[in-house]
Amino acid sequence: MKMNFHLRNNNFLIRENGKKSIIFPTFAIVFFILVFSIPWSRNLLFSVGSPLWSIKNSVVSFFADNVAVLNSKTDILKENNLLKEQISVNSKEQVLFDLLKKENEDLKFILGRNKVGQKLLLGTVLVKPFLSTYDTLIIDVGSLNGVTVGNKVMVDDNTFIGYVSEVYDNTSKVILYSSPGEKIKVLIGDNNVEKEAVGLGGNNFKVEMPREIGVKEGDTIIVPSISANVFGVVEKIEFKESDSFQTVLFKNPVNIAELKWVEILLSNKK
Amino acid sequence: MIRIFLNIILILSIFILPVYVSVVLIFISVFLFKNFIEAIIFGFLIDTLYGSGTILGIHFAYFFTAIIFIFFLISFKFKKMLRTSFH
Repeated sequence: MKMNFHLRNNNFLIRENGKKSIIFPTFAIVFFILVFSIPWSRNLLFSVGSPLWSIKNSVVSFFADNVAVLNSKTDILKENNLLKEQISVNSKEQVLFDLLKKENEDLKFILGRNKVGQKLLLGTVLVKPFLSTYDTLIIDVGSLNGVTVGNKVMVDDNTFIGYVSEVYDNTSKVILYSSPGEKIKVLIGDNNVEKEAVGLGGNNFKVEMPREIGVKEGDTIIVPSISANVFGVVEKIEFKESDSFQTVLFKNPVNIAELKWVEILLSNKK
Repeated sequence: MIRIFLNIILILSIFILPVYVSVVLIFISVFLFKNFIEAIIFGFLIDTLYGSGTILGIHFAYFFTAIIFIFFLISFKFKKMLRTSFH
């Protein structure tokens, strides 16, 4: 004897589940956006993250420092000789550099434009762009150290890399100028032509400018400032024969991936 | 229990591992677990911690939240299709 069974009609259940599947996530997102819009909760989040990032950095640097032990002796000797040669070349240039730097500072002092009053604060980089996708850094100094939103961030006292966008008690978020869409005024070439550079991500920038302005590969790009600085070096110039404009592509000399410390230029409002 | 353990791993991964790795882990978790709503919260955490407010030149602060939310919704349909094909 053949038996027929009614198939269970799941349409209603599916529709109900479908509604739930949208309502719950939407509610969760709205709830968390509201919670993490409060500065206190954001501060708590960064306070939790700070020790974790420090531990991670310690572990990474431990392994990075000890990788050399695994290299062969011949390789280490070769590298050692190469570095010695490099040091001897650099030390000769360093003498001239120090002399010019001293002269520059003396002249500024005579003209009343010395850097006295300009306060730099050293910060350790907790998170770099490799980890953060966005071109942002997280550093271990915050409002308790005098950092405020908008403070400029430098490397080696002469290379601007970004600005502070969010400040918490003991941490701050820095947006790199190379972050896609970020804009910064720069001076290009020997004639110091002022243009707006646009970040392309990964420490790269582009500037659109008329072809009449002579720029060549290797030209230095600086940020308007009283102190001597290097913001980038022209890597490539692109243009079409029919266009009157050219696109100058340049890169910041700082290797963000190897960055350990940054200097925050504190404002002198206090 | 496994779910709680995975949640802890995912939270730690957001802080310690590169974002790409965390996002892949979140995607896998969405497929492995039913109604893995935590995924959206993790997306939001990534945006809150590392976000610059701009992604690919567009002002949008919640890129990963949006991506994971869309993936979460798609996963419902996909899981249903898989169930249909296996049964």
